[in-house]
Amino acid sequence: MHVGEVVKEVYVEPIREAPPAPAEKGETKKRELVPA
Amino acid sequence: MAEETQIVIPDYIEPIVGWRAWFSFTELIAPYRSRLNSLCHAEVVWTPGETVVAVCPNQSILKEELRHDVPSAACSCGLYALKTLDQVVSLLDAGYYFTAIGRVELFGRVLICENGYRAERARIKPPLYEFKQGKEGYVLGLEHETIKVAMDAEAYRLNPNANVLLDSINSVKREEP
Repeated sequence: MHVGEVVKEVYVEPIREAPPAPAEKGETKKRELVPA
Repeated sequence: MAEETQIVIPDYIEPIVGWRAWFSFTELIAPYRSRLNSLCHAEVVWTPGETVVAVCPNQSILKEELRHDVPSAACSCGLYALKTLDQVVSLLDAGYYFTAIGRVELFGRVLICENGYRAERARIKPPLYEFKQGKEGYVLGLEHETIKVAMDAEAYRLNPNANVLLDSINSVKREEP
């Protein structure tokens, strides 16, 4: 690919990568207490 | 004493968008992922959703004092992209062979050139226009969905008529949401 002569040099803000998906709800569900 | 940190103020906060072409292939071993190869540097593999970082192939042979940031105006390194779709399609006339066309987002250090760009980092900006071999020859697909027949059925190459290809891509673009 021929892009030709350099006209200008710039710095472009990096793209922020998407954060990992949050854990699904219910993963920390408490165990039900059984009456003695 | 606190460590000195260099703060770079960006010239642009949104990525620069350019056009590129690739040669697409499917891996021969499981899970048979689809990959895109750079046309001029087959060792550079592009994966949709992943950022590609440019490496200067000359750095390892240059003396330390000649090593430079990538891309450098004094070198030919960097991730290349053209300014328009028409420019990419015209690569067919220049003898290039490719099977996918798409936009790329360029960021980090970028050299703006007369006809295109050379960038430090790049990422494919969907959708990706891929040509696949079908019953009627090569077809133009949009993200694995066949949209238009645009390729020469007899020759094992893209249709050399760039206008046919351009018309097909433009018609697909019009159908985009």
